[in-house]
Amino acid sequence: MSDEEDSTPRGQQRIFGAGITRKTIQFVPAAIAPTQATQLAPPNVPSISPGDRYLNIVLKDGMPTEGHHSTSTEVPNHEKRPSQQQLELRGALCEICNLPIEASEGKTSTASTIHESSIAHMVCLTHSHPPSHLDRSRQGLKYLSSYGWDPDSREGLGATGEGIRAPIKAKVKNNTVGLGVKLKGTKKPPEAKLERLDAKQIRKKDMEDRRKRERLQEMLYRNDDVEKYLGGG
Amino acid sequence: MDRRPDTQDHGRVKRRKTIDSRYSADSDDDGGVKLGNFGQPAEVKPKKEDLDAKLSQSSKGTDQLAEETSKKKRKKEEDEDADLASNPYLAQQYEGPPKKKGLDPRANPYLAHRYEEPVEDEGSYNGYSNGYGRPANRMDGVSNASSLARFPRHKSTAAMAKKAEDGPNNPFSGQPLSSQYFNILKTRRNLPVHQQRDEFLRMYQNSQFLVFVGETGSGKTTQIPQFVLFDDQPQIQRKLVACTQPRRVAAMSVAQRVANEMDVTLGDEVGYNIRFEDVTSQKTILKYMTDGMLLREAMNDNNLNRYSTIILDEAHERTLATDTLMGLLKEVAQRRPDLKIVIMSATLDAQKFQSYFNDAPLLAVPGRTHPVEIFYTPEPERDYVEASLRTVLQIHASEPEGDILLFLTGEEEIEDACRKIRLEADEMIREADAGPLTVYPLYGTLPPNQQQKIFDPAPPASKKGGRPGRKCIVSTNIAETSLTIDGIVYVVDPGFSKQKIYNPRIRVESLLVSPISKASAQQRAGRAGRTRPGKCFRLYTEGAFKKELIETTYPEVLRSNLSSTVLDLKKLGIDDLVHFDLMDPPAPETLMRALEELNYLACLDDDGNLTALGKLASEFPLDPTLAVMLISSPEFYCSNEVLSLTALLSVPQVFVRPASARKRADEMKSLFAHPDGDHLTMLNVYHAFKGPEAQANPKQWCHDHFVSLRALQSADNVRMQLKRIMETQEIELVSVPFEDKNYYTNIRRALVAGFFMQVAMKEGNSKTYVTVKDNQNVILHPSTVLQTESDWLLYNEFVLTTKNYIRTVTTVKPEWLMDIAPTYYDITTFGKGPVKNALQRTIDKVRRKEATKGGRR
Repeated sequence: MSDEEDSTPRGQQRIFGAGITRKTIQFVPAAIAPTQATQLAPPNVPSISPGDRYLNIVLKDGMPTEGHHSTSTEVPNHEKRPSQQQLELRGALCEICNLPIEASEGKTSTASTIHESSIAHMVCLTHSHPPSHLDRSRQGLKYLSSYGWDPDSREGLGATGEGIRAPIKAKVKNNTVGLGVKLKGTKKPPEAKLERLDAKQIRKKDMEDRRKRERLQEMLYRNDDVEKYLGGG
Repeated sequence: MDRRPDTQDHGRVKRRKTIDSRYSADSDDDGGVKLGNFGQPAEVKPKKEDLDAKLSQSSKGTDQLAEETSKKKRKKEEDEDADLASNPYLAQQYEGPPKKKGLDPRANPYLAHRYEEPVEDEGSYNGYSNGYGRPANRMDGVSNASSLARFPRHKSTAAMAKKAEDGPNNPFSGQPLSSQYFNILKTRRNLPVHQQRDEFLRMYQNSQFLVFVGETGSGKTTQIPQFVLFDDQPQIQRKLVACTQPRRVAAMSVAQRVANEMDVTLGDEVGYNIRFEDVTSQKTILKYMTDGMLLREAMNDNNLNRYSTIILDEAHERTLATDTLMGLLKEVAQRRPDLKIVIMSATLDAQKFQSYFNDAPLLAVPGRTHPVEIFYTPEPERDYVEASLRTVLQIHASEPEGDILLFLTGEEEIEDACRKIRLEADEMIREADAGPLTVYPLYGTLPPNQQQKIFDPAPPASKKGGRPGRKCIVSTNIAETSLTIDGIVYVVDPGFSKQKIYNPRIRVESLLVSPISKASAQQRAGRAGRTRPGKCFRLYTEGAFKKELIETTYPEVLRSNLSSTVLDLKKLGIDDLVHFDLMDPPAPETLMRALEELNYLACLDDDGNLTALGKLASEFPLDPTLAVMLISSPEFYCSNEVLSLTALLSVPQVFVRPASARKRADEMKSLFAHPDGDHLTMLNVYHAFKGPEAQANPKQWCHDHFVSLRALQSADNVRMQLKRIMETQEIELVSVPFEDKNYYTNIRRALVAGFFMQVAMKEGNSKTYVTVKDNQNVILHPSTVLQTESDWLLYNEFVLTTKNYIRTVTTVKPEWLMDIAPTYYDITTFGKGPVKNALQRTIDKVRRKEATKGGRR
């Protein structure tokens, strides 16, 4: 409401005058040269990534850190597996996670089930995502899908699907709080007051909670057809 | 789908027509026009020219040195020339001096009969002065006039162009060049872009796309199109070079400037074309236009065959039209390998443009900038407005001479800040013997004459030997890229700006105060280094700069309602909106919303094809909602009134409410008030304004009645232009007599035909309303004049703040809604709730009424 008049009562309005003498605003020069200000500092690449360090400790026998800084430990299909000879000894590789299926039990069928239930294998499985929230009956969606856009594909529009997937969110700001200030108001809610209740109050509160739960239950699971059948609604 | 060949054919026919007319003009004097003369490549490149170029370059160097040491006056003059490129406001100022100097009357084609000597055979002069209309023998005879004749197309060099520019005759019009031309030529050759003319030409010749980066003041807007003209020679092929601008004013003023630089009359060789204003002719070879205009031309000429080169200027602004145009040009370029495209940007994020245009080569021209020292606050500021005011005063008290630029977000904030700074500055002068400080506001809706004031020089010291004066400009982000003010040494940047955001889920477009981007902050800082090393004070911490600011501002295409754009694209024959290669494709939901809105408006059918109404609506430079309302208004017998209303809704706010006289303004507004709502009130104002009493002295009348003369005048203008389109589209202009009892009802019903998607219903007995289908709780904006109690309201605007307001409302009846927009108000599509119940009640009521009617019969 930009064109509204100032609603603060006159007495409480900030007195504006002699501001300069009251408090000066401190400034600090930029830490880096202004010409470089735009260029983002390259992310510090440690000489050895945590993942490699971990492997170095675990596989003492010499997995040299060949300068690959892959931090993802859950993609084990690169060189950071036990050495090649070990693999050959152990038998077939799993197609999905590229790890050897250990045939220790003898029977291959049990071995594969054991392997399939291993975390390493499951992590490598392709995940299905929950379907998009978009209403399938929408006219606009019909148009877009007729040109090959799939709402569940998790892709945007554009020649290569590089577009943003969700609209940009609007954040309303109607105060003059400066950039980077953490408002205190947001911190307050978590501090719930502790109070002592007697038996009666507890009973009352319990009833209230139950009623609330029931209302929620009804709201979420209500079915018009069923209610009509039951003679309600 | 079947439209495409149709429109193409249409375009072709049109083109043939123009060519024919040119031929017919030629045939008066000589049937055998030898155009080949132009095309012959110059085989021998004289070495002397190279030498000349070197000599001139070295002399340029000394020239520049002399410039720097010379007095202020001269420098100012030169800077003015340079800045004009991007400075629409300065243009007006500029137009004065050269005219006063006096154009050489010889340069005026209309006075050519007085100076017969240079023109040998006057009889053959047929008005086509750019060469191709002339008999070949004359071309050979007057070699100076055709100094371009030996130019090989796409093989020329800067030295060759220089020779042609040096005259003595105008290479394009053949007229002798004026002394004013040579004056300007001298300053032009000092522009930064001129140093890289050869480099530019080489890259331009070798590639279809070229990305050109030059800061404001480098002269790119005025010079690059001329560089292109000399090399591309559009006149040989009967084509044009187009240069697009995001703003109308810029297109106009730059065209005027370039016409002066080329020593031709505006509208002849150099012209401009903005919405409703076409200042071009058959002779035109360079056309400045708004990007929206070029888009409109593409609708009828899908391959843009009229153009040999298209220059997109100010591409960094990423307006909706620029983005759409870029996507379109990428497709057109594949179909037309001969078309050259130059993208010009003022900021350094050019890599994105490069990769978008298939890794196009990049040429960067350093601007005339000085280093800027950047300061941050050690702690976040609690109140950025107060902090910014104090920073300004601090600078005034302690920093050496130099003007200040403060960025704030909106009109009210800026006016308020100006007032406070003035008060404080007065106190400082009294108490601390500070120098005088003049404060100027700057924002888009400010009248041009007041915007002009920011170019006034800073005030002098109040007494001899006193501290120097200084000016402070408090501006929106208008001063960030689009406008250049010299003399700014200090920039205060609180880190916020007002940005448009569109939420497709509730279909609300709103202007919100949001943190700026890093690129934006950088641009703001750069404003301080235009004339000498400067300082930029950022009112946030360095950590906040790194962590809280996004890299670049979101382009408009991601922040707008796209229904207008989708309609344009459909009209352009682009159906595959999914794979249309925009630089930043919008979110699917936004596009879906746009498609649905157009479907409800009956501009697209259920399969997404353009309907007849859609085609008609795209002819209007309006939002589809307004266009549909206007087109369907004859059905309600009020197209004259709806036309006025459409014009009023497309201009800034008509009512003025100055802080000093709010009560009086409200009283005056109530004079026009119509109980049924604000739309009708606006219409009353317009009718009163057009009445004899007001027209006697419009300025006084507007001042007395607290309405904006500027808004009403521009509404008048828009109305006239829309009327012209309606006439060509054969839409009837009808009215019922004012005494008719349905006069206002008709208008209200016509409003529903366009705005049926912007309706709110009263919630119970409370003051709140809920928007239909989107279910947003809203309340009436306090500015409304609405007096009648009504359950249903149609609104023009949804204002998003802590409270959601609807502004400019009019009462409507639910029967109308279901009658006029039956698909949208199909009761089965509504979820359970009060709106559905109310609609159901209405249906029952109507049914009962009909039943009783039937019974009586």
